[in-house]
Amino acid sequence: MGLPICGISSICDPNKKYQNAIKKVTPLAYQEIQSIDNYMKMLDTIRSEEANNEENSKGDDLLGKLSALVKTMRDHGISGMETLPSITISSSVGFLGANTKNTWLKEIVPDGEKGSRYILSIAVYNENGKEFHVINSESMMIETLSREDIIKRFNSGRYEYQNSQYTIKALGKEVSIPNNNKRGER
Amino acid sequence: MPTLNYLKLINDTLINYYSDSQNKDEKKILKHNIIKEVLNIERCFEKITKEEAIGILKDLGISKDKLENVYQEVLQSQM
Repeated sequence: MGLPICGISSICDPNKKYQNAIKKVTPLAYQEIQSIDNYMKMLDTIRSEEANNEENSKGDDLLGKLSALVKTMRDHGISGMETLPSITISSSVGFLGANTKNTWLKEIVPDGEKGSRYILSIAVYNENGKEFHVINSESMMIETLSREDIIKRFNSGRYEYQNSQYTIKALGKEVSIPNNNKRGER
Repeated sequence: MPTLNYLKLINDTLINYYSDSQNKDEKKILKHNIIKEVLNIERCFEKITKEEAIGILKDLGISKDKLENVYQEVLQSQM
């Protein structure tokens, strides 16, 4: 582990003339490379079988993937603020599907003596903006809301945009965007 | 910036996704368990070819237009 394995095998010994000697000197390193090669061969086999099976493509399943992501984060002990970059990155690299957007929200909840407090949530949605999956970073629960429902929550004061630069375009002017929301910029 | 840890999270998510009864797919579970082993190897992206790494990124559902950037960023994050 940690040795320049690839250098030994492919650069210094391109013709594999000294392969046996390398095996003797660095058996552990050789073993690891063998494992990677084996893993890659297994992956190639599975991929070629998948290519022959047309039923593989299930299309984008945003809620299914989000639910699995939230479950995995719970398994990994990820919660609170840590959930947000995980979801943002998953969305930005296309894992959650094409045309998927995300916007951070503040949910105002009652809090005994203090009156109320904010919980940070993230709304994940397709560009068509018909359905919104809101993940509460505290409870790690997903709530699916229609366009009308999410607008109601904004207008009742339950939701606010966390950042005025990142808003949900599909909601248009039906939801007000705060002018001086400088706190907590992404 | 996507790092190897985020790729591991995405891969584990896919294992959970395909383990769910609605999306049950044993072959996909096997594939992502193999990828899990690869990602757990220290500095794995340095030990496989770019083509192999891109193959893994495709398996993880990274969109085509992001493959090159994600590959470079993960590679840099290992250095």
